[in-house]
Amino acid sequence: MAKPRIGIYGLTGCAGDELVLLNCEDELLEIVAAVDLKSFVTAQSHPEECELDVAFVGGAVAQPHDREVLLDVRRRAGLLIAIGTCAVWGGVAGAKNDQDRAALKRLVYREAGYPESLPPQPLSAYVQVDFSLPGCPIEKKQLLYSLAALLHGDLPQRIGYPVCTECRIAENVCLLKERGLLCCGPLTQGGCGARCPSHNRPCAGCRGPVEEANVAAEYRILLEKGYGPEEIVRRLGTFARVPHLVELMEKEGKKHAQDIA
Amino acid sequence: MQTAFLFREKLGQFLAGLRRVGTLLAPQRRGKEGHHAFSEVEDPQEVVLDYTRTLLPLKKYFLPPQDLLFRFSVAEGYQMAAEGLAEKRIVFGVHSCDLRALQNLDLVFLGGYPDPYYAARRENTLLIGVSCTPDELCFCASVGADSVTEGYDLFLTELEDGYFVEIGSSAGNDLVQEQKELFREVTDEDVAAFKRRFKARHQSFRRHLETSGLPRIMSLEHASSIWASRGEECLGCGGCSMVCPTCYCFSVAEVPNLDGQSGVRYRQWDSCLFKDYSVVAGGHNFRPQRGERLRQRIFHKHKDFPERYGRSGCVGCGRCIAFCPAGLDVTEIIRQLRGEIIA
Amino acid sequence: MREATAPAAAAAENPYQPHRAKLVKLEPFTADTALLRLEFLDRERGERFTYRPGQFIQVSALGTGEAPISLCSSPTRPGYLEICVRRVGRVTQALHRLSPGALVGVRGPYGNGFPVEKMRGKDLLLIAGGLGMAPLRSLLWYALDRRGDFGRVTLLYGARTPRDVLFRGELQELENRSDVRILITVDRNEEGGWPGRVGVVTTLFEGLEVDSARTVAVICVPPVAFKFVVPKLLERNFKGEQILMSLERKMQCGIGKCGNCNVGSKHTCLDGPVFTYWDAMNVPGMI
Repeated sequence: MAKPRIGIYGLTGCAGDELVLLNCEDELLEIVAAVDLKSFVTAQSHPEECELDVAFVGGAVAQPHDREVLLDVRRRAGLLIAIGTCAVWGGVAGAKNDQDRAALKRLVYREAGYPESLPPQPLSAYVQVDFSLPGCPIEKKQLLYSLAALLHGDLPQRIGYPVCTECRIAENVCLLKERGLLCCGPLTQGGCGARCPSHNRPCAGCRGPVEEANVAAEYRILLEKGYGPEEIVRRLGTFARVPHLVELMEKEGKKHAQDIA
Repeated sequence: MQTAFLFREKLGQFLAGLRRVGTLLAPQRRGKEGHHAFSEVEDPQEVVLDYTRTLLPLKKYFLPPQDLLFRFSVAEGYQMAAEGLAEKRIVFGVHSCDLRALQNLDLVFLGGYPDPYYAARRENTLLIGVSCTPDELCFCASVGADSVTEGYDLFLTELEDGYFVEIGSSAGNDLVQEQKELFREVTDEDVAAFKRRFKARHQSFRRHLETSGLPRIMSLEHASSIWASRGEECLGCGGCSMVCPTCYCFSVAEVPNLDGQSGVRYRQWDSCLFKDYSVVAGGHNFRPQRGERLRQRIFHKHKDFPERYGRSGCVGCGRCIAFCPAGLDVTEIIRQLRGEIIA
Repeated sequence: MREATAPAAAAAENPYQPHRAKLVKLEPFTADTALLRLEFLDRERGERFTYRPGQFIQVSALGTGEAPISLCSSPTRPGYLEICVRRVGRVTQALHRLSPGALVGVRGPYGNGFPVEKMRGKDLLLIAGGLGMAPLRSLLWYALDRRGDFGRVTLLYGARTPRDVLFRGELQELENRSDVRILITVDRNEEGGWPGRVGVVTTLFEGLEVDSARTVAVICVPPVAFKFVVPKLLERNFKGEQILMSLERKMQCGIGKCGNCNVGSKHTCLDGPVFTYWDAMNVPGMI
């Protein structure tokens, strides 16, 4: 069987997810042997832009150029895999998407200007994404598993549980319940092995929301612990400001205000 | 019943002796401010006997969170992963609720089609129980798990100057005989002290779960609106299942290697609170609402498991209450179902 | 090969162990559904493997995973196993990628299956919808191969479109037999060319003569369809115990451990997948 043709692309972002792949030092030779790597400009000098079996795309769509690259890759790729929270959810760059773009540009770039900027969006805002690997950055273990599954001909299996699940298994103190910290664990997709809570740091939500995240319940719990509505929305939306989740929080906030009144 | 008395000052020596028999696992504190957790004993001084509850129960030693089942290769098919199953282990300091819970798991994993992974670990592990003092979350007495008469090799009840030891098995007796200089015979005064302690403990329970007719009442409240409203509070994190000593659901995952020719199949803890738990290929979900999933969990403990196996599916250890980030409390939900409190 | 270090109990029989079987035939039925014929590599295991219609096996696609799939062959035709596989999940997609000669893993059979001894002497009314035809094909062949054991045999089968009719060739042949009634309908016939009935499976009850007193009805339809089919039987005075249903649930182990298929105190994998309507009336959420 012919080796699958692979392309790895980075849109607007820090390229951290591509680095995770390069950091798989023990497995790199095996990976390179198993695939026909056509394009990976972060690590390769002469990319070949052709038909691909699988394209991995990191970064958010934040400029017209990103959009062009993405649409082109989508046309050429059998499967398109979003890697990293920017590609999956818009990431930190999209945290201010509720604010006026022109005002933000003036604030950041002053008179120098920076005309070619779009509100940072996940890939799924523009194209069909076949599988998502969230994380800031992605987890090496999950990347290797996903690669192996794809090489085997299967889409990888999704993770359907939040960070809390793995945090309980790690036998950590619950930073939300027992320390009253603003921990995003209950809402955030698991798979990191509760990396931050295991080091006594509350989950920052870097992997984006787990499917069916109960945002309203978490919001209510945090209000009861004394956090303000703005702070909660800002923290829960740092890595993934998902409009309908923000809406849920605002709705819950109004309900809560009525309950108090 | 065979009994013995272990001198308080000899406990460390006894534990050190146990380490010669096998890997010694006992409750220890995780870090300065962490929870108690069962873990391997390096220094007997670190073993904590007066803990209330460990975060994870005993099941982690018999049904590990991730449990390798098979290695596979194109050439040889699926080969059972058996390493580690024969390791000799002693778990020291187990509370009666956790011993009782293990008996529930035995019904599931040793009955029907016996599970060889569980069976081997069970066969090679000795259990030493220890008496405890209930806190405000414990309700084991309500579900018959406050005291066990079987399912342990030794059971230690703390008295003033030492431990009243009940010997539950021949292997337990061996442990005593191998270090018999640490023990003396039980006296009438010991028995009197044992009875006093037992009574005092029984009177110290502050939480109660009324279980009379519970399966029938739950059956009648299957369609109650309580489930939907409580489901709105649930974060769906499955934490209750992870910390529950009687939760045993698992999912199976296959992880291929990069060569496409080999890999592993393992199982991992699952929870009926997860959305995917009842989703079949093609996407149909038999329990699409969070409330339905919360109901499934509580039904399984207090109606379905008792109906199938003839004993409570809950041992009243209080972990699901202690560790639920949403503050859900099964005893409160059941009082609500009974109509004793209004939501 | 590595030496197993587990004690005797573990080495004896591992119920999770997939046994190697060869895919000897893969016959596409529709765009997404195919008939797979399997034979154990270990001939002796194949000979020992006995089952009853309505039971299922756990099929492993090496490297992808395992899925529970109903047997659609009949134990009256030994030597091989047949499963009807629709490409809906990861494992079934992987099975569809295989070519004859490939190896899969098989363990089982599991579940209670249809109570064929109790059904002896009765008329059989089989009601199939979509992929539900697979387990009923097993029962159908069982009844036809032991024709004297059963009274009247009727199959009502509804598929989405003419292209989705499974076992079309063999069912058409059966239509010519006088000792079995085969009624097939399709939900839609937009492309034309379907000479038979059009309408959902319940339309096949129109004008259907059934002596409910001596009939066992067996329903195997998608989860959403039970509530349409069952009333048709109740109207005809079928009692709860006379209505059998084969249910679908998520399963990981197939042997009553993993919990995924629990419905009330029942394990679909052990106590089912065949339940009576009376069971369903008493176990909320079953259908």
